Amino acid sequence: MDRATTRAAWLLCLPMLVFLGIFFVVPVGQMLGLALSPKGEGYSFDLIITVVSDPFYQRVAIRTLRISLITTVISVIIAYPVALHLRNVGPRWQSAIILVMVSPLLTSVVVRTLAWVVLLSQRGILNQAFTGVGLPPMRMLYVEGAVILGLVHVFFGYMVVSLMTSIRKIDENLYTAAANLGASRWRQHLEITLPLSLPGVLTGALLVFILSASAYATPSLLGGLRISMLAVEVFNQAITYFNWPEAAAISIVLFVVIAAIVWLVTRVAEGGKRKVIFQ
Amino acid sequence: MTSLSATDAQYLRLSGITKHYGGIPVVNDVSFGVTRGEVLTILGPSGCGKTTTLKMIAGFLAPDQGSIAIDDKRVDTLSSHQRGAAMVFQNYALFPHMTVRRNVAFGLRMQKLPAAQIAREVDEMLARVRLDPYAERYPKELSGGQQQRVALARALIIKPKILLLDEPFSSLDAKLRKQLRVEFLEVHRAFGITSIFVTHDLEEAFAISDKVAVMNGGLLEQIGSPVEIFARPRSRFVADFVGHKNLISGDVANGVLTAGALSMKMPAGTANGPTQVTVPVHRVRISRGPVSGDNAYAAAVSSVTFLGPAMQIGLEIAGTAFEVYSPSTAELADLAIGDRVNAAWDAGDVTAIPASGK
Repeated sequence: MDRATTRAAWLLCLPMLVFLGIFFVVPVGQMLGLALSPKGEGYSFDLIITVVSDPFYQRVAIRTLRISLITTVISVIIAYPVALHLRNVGPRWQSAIILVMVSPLLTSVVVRTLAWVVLLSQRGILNQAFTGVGLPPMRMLYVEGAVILGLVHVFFGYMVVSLMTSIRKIDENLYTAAANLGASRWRQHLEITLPLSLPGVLTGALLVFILSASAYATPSLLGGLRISMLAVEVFNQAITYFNWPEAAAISIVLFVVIAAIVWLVTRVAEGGKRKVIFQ
Repeated sequence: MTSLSATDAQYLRLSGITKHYGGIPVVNDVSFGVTRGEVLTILGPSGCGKTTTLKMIAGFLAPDQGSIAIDDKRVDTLSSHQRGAAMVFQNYALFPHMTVRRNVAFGLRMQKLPAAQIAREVDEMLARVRLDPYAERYPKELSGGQQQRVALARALIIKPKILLLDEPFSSLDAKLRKQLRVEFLEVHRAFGITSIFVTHDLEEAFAISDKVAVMNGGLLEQIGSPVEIFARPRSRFVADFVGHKNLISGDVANGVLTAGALSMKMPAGTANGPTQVTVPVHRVRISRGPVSGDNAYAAAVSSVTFLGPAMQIGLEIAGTAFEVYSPSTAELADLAIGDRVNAAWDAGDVTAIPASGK
């Protein structure tokens, strides 16, 4: 690129940069300031240390990571067959299936989540069905499973799209070559699809993990007060208790933890023998 | 060479192979045999059915009719792996996430051989195709020639009965193609494996093959050695495809063909009647001085194209336009349009094209 095009490229990005500058960098900076200097007199990590060493927040943080991890793993497991199947269907079916997959993203999170509440609550449709056939009602709402269910439902589409992109790129001849050398259908997927789709798995997994770890609406509606996650605690501190500095401190802990995990995962994935795939 | 047994002469045998797509025959009643150890090229324009034929030999496609036998055993119902037909793909289809060593080991790993044996056989193979210094590289880190050798090694390590190559050079530039051709022939010589090669490139087919099968519109037009195909085309299509320019229709009477003002002696035994013949472009001798031959004429030069080692010369002989290729001799160096030269060829070089040919 010559200098004129470089300048033009920067100019094209300018509106976005200004927008991000005003509405992202400034508030995040302010939040950092709030967490490091709650009373506006000198900077210290005291508040952050308090949050990190609080057993309640530790429990919430571990739960947040556990729920996000399980959500990610389940998303990979159920998205993989769908993405594989998409390789073998015609373009029209492909669009139809993708539309169905991402349809949860077309409605408001609150509406979607309230639909789960209707299904899962103590007097919800499922429990009515259970009691109808003589079974005792089951506790299905405000448990971790409900939160995971809701998160998988919301974010699973990202996983499918990400996986599909990398699976569709695989050259059909690789399968023919493998079959020609004696690989069964199952072996072909193990030797070719699986390793070559890893970049898609990684991108999708990171997306789902990050989105789950910072989700607010789903855990607050399906988890209630019992199954709180970090983003819910940020909201509670800021809005319910009006304790902005503590909310800011939790936000920063959440941000650092997610950033560290993303960095670690990409480092491990890019290093070692697999480096060729991820180039 | 010792004489071939009946099985060796028909090591691969296609009998009446037919394949339809949507009611249209893409391959139509094709039969031919391939001798053990030779390179046969299926040559033809795109859409002639050559790749479909190859895929049926490979076992990637099932023929609608006909049978395929390898080493006297019918293989129609066997998978590509079971029939012992290993394929080298157009873009090589190397596994991008595996090193050269793992690519080559793939077939042996699928056979679940002991690791030590796989390692030994892979090492041997890599040494034979001179890839041992590149064993730990990934395919994208290799040159085109090295990639081809990986593809060949990966196919040959499972000891296939026949090797199939689907236009392996088609996406490359002319210089690299020639280099890869030489490399392929080296590997073929070292392993002596019966090979079926598919290409649309005439020069390539002639350069690497013991035998060429020319296909057109799903039909096998002619099969023979490159020299036979080039000098004795048996159909109008083959004559055109291999570059014959001098196709003349006339009447034969008593061993002489008459076409307008031109008359030409034919090979002994040519039947009387309307006949189409070809005078091969490379069999015409021209000189400013006298030239001898069964058919000798005075000719006027109508065009001259200098091609380096050869010259492409347009001639007018008795009202008929000819095109000939002549070595760029000193005598012809300053040949110009309008010059008078003598041209001659032998009766035996004139080839009648059977009327059944299109």
